[in-house]
Amino acid sequence: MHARVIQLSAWAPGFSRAHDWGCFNPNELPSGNEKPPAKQVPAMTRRRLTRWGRQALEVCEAAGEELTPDTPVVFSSRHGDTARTYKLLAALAEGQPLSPNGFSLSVHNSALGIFSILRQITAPGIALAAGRDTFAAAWCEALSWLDQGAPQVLLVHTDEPLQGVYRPFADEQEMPAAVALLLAPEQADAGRRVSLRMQPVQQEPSEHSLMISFLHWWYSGAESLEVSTDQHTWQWRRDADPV
Amino acid sequence: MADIDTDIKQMIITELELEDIEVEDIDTEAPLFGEGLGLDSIDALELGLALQKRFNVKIDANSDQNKEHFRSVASLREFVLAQTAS
Repeated sequence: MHARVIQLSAWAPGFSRAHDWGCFNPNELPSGNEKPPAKQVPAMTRRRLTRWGRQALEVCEAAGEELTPDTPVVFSSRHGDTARTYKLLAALAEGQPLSPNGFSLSVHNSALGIFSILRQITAPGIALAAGRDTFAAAWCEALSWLDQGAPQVLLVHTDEPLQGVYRPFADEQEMPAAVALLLAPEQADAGRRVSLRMQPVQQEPSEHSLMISFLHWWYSGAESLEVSTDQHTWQWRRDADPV
Repeated sequence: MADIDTDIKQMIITELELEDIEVEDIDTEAPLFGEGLGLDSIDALELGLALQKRFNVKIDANSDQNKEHFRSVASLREFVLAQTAS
């Protein structure tokens, strides 16, 4: 099914502009503790966010004026804010009281909630996770909103690599990064026409997360991307406009 | 007393992760909530927890006096001193 990418913005440590992403090499993944500025977020709100949430809000802001209050938001993250939830679980295990702030932000939709309050978005929002397929599942969700008549949908994906006690469970290479896309129906008169196809899994799963494969493909300018997870084979394709 | 004030201010900055704020930036007499520092209700809960941990004081969740205790750094200091004296 087709949609149009009106806008795409991505952030990772050392990668904040399209120019940086042009040099992105999945074999040398960005790491480090650098945080995005997230200047549009009031300081008193920003202080409460881990990098996981902060980078999501950073990329959302790039949608700027285009983002109207009636724009549904599809928010996705495979792991969620694991740094925060681990802290809470550790406190519980030690019989310590929980941080009220940590607790209030420990849900999967915390960054989406903060963003929609700040931008006064009144359209529905959904936060989802779907294993290695998460980013593609969010894309499918966005397509279904467009099919139901939404004039545009904001798709936001953010993740941090698994750390600490969760690290041994990592089954793909990940990086700290977030990407936001403003998607519009195929009939829209602006934006890049892109299709996504889902098929039964046809090849060995990629060693990289879908977000890494997708961003590498997007900024490489290549025509299509075929990439497998443990569940499905996904094909993104940039298509020429119909004549 | 100035030491307790500094302790409380440092605790507020650390526990509430106030970016770009130093101990000197917090006025001992200024309101902490609403105006002044502009803290909110979640900060009040976080602060209550921090006070229990740091100064071992008990805060009665249903006390009408809490609002007065949490008004400023000065009122928090008086509250801590009164609790630790008893």
